[in-house]
Amino acid sequence: MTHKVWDACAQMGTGDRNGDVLESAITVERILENMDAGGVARSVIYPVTWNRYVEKSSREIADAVKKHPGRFIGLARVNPTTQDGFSLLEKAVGWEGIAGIRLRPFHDNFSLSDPSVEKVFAMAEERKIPIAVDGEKNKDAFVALLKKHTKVPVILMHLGDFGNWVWQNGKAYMELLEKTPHFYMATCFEIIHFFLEEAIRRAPRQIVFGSDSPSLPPSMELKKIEVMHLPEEDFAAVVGGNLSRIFG
Amino acid sequence: MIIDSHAHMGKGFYMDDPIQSNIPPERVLKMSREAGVDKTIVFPVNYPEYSGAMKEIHEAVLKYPNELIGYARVNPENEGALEVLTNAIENYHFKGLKLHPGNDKWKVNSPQTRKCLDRAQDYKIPVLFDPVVQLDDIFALTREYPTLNFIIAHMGGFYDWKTQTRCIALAEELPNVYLDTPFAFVHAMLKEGGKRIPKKILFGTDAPAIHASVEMDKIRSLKLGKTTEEDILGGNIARLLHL
Repeated sequence: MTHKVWDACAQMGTGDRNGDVLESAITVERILENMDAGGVARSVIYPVTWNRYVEKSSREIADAVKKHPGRFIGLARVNPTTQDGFSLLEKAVGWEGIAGIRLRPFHDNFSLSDPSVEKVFAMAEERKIPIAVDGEKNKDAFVALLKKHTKVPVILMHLGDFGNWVWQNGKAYMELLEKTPHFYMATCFEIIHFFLEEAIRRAPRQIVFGSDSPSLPPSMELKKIEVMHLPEEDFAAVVGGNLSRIFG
Repeated sequence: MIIDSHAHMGKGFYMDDPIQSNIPPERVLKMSREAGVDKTIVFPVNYPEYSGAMKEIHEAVLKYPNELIGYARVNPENEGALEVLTNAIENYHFKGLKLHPGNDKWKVNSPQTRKCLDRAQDYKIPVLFDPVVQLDDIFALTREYPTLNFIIAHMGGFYDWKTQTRCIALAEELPNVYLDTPFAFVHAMLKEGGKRIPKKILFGTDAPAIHASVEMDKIRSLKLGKTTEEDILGGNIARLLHL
């Protein structure tokens, strides 16, 4: 059976780190090529890491969404702790093509306990838009935000930590999933196969497939899910159904 | 022939760590078989001392002689490390040496390390070095021991493309340096390595952390052509180990 595959995690954009293999010059065509090779129908895209976020960072995303109807869901990204971060974000979430917010505290060198992050969650709650966030080194702050803002669909990327070397966090997040219906986790860069499988089997309606394209090909990330031989309906939910429900 | 050149197994010592405990050979082999891997190179999970772990690997290889190949692992700073290594090579006939200075917390640039490398050189077995820490010191050893083959794990860094760039350049320059692919997660760098050093890249999984099918898909998605793909998936390590 063919399933509609939606990818929760792909990054693109010009960036301002010239020569950085992962964070610069990632074109929409490159993302589309990876999607087509992996059989991905639609991808969530957000800006690469910029040293300093400007309007262009998220504008490129909105433009790609408009240029390729039906292929993308756009997220705005800023460092909300910088002077103009929050106002940039407030503006971007009003653009056509932007459907949510992406926060990357580890990459952008801020903490989820910063008061500006609380403002971002409050805005997302007010506007009824999802937030995709990295949790590395921020577990307690993340959990506090999650518990306070119960109307915001929150997607925690990488199952909470790159590779889950801090596997205790991964276990704690799995328990939290089961009692927190607005909390989701994405599979991208979760490289401990048996952790991922445990999470999916425990909460198949709250795990979303993600690839971190173009760093990794969606086909490889999909293979991670395929080898688990999940029940048909759980597989369909993880590779696309859950994400399409989050974004409507 | 498809050969996984990097997999862990063992009962383990740190029993509360799910990544480092309760990995019988059957758990690794289940994934290997599902993926169509013909042979899997296995070495121990983390232990404070490796003599017992060597015996475990030996017994697993004896049980599955057609599917498993054993590597020794030691902490060079442990008392008796050299004897453990010698026994693993002479009596257990292991084909390589795995060193993990990061997890085992020892200093790379030391007389103890050199004693182990000398021994590996005497026995003509390759050394698989996990490079998460002290990469410069490992690089220096590859030059100091030009007749000893080194495999740098993870192409030098999980998603650290700058380190992977350095490792590719080193393997291109030195005939005794190889790179393995598990946890190497920058697709562009894997492709670059496959093009520049097709005979020096070795497929591996880090099983049981990653399913062999997933890592294999990563290699195949590079679309490097049939010959290079076969080399990476098994031909290169087969030549290196004289299989």
